[in-house]
Amino acid sequence: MVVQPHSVMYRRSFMGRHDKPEDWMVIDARDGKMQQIEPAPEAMLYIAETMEEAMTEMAKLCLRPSDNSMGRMIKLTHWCEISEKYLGSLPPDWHEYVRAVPDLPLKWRDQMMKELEAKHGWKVDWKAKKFISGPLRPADVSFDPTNIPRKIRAKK
Amino acid sequence: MAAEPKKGIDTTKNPIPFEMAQIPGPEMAKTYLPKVMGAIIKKAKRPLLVVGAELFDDPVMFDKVIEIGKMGIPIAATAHSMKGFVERGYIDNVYMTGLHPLTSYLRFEDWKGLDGKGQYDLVIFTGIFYKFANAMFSALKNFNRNIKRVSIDRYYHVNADMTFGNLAFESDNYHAAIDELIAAMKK
Repeated sequence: MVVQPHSVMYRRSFMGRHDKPEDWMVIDARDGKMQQIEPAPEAMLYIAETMEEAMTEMAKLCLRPSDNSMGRMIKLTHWCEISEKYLGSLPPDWHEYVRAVPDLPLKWRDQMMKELEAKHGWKVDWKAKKFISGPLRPADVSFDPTNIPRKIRAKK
Repeated sequence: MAAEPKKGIDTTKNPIPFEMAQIPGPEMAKTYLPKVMGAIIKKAKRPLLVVGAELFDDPVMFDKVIEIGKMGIPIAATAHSMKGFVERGYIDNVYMTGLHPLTSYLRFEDWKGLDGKGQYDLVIFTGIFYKFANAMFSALKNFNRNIKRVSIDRYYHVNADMTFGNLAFESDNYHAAIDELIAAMKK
């Protein structure tokens, strides 16, 4: 939820620790394995100072660990476009939400792949248009994240 | 002929909460002269300048903030203030973030900072919506006492450690005070 700055009067702040990877471990309900995920959604209650910040944050908070590639691409495109329009540049942490090449917005696909290789040290197979290394986790269409152990369907 | 820039602005005057009757407790901010504040900021080991979107209402402040940034103080551009820095072509040590997550991180001793070099020991707020900045100062006041809270905004911020008196309706004096502060930091 994104709220206006006067909402500090609610005296609530549901923020995640983006810098702590151990906080972003979930159970894969298919087999009970622990899986590292990107910090999504980062906050449950976010106070935005301006309309522009609220717009950008709303688009960002739509990202979910269980997105498929098509969904992630649409959401990333939306978030990056709003950020470029209202904040003047791409968000600083967009690369954390990329798991595979199809996740990248079509509009910036080549530019982003070059940036991932040059700035963030990812290895790219340019012929096959694939990431050799770099993403936090591979894209998995049937990934079923949960925090509730009783939701595990079959333990390996 | 251009008017002489004002000097010796007394920013210790008018230490009245900007919002009526806002008395948070026995610990209230002290007002300081710009040159004293500048000297204290200069001595800080890990300062952070946090700017908000109110700078768009007073664009001259962007240039002044950039001048402070060029002295090596990292800038956290909250809300959509990043756009102002991009338009002015200064993004060297400017980090795009939100004030709410930033304050949330500042509460923790083990946070590595926006540049990964460690927690900050002094935060300077400017150009942030009064009520929001006040609440964030309050959070730091109650949850991380190791960070010095400095406001160089035009309001008297009750929950800061160091602040100016109310200069909200004296734009010229406020700009002169910021110039004095910058001059003191350059000394």
